[in-house]
Amino acid sequence: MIDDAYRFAYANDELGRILHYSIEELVGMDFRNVLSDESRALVADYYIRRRRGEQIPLRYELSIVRRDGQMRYGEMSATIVRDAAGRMRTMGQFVDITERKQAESEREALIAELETKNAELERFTYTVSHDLKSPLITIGGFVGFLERDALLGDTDRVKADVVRINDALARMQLLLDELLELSRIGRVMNPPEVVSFEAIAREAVEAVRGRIEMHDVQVEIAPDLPPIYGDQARLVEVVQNLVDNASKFMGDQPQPRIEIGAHQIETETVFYVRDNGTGIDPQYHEKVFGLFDKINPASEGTGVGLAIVKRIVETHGGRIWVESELGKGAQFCFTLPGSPVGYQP
Amino acid sequence: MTTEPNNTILLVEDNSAHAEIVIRSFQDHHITNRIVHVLDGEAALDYLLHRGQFSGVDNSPRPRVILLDLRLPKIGGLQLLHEIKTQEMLSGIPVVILTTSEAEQDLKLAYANHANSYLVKPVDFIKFSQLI
Repeated sequence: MIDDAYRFAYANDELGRILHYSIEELVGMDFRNVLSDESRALVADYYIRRRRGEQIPLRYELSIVRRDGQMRYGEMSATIVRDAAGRMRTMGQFVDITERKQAESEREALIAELETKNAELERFTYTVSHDLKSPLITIGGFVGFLERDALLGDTDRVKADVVRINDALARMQLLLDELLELSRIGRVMNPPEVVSFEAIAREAVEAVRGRIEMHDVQVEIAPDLPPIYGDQARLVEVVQNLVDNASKFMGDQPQPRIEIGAHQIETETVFYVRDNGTGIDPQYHEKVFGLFDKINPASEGTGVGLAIVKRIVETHGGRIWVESELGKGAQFCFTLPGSPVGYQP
Repeated sequence: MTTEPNNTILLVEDNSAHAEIVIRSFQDHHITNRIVHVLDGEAALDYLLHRGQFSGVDNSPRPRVILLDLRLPKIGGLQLLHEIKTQEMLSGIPVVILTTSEAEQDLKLAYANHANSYLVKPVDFIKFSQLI
């Protein structure tokens, strides 16, 4: 029961238990002390409206702050009564619904997550079935031609048919391997540790040394790179994929060059892999990360690499994007939260 | 400008193995139409509008039918279909969609964009001849 000076005139054991105060402490206490800021404002508003003669709800939700600082949510129902001495008092009943609210919001979060995952799965299944079907069609077609060419004794054509079939098989193999990798990323991550980004960059570059040398690419790793917190093997994959891509798309660049580094943008450390190759048309800047969305289907690669990279970065809580224009090279940027801030290049 | 339809077929297919299958199958079934194969939507428009590598009207006679794979890079298959069907000079050319699956969601969109028909890969040539 609240008196007209906002003080508890009476409180029962249950209220004491919810608030973690004894009844003695509560009686005489301004009840607004236990309200959250939001609820305090709400109650103040109700008081004003009631004094103006307006109707206010008899039942509403309040959030209160327990003695130890924890927030509890309750349903308040209030009536105006007269106490023993005939004074007007507010008699309130407070039901603690904190657990219920928590369960509700957890449920909503789970449903949202489930819907997202379902949509992703549908899109994935659709994309995969088409992209696996394609090499199957090739194999089917050329097995037919192969039979005919063999019967005709046309060995040149037979050889060419076999090449087509083998290429299609290799492609299916590669697609399946990469898809497996993609599906694993969300589920199997090595425990994160503090790793030097420089070490990651060096390992990644070493892994693609073959292609780098084939295309005569200069690779430069910036000095004094910050350490990061994450799954080392996966992060090596990220940088490896980006460097590999950069080397593949150098076009006619006579002095191909890749730079790996990091810089501070506001409060974030942004890592980059930058090249001076053919660049990417801005209309494709989102598409490049899409599964199987290859801008140039004739290029090598399955179109899964960047999707994997994006997934890894996002599992680390980071974001990845590309800054590029046709003919002006490309810069792939990503953040890895958990990387120490305050890095000065 | 040549506007008489002749026996040219324009095949817009980014997968060169699939394109070879179509071309060889046509030959095997003694379909004598000349097939022009382009790898993407931009090249298809270059052909149809007599520009780029196909400037010079005699290089690119108006096709009798266009075989269009929906999954194309750069200009997507649907966008190319839309371009063709909204240009007066081109909208009369029948467009047959090549698709890997009848269940393809894009088929509905293709019909919404006035595709004339579809064929499921691998293309059945009896069906194709009937279509023509």
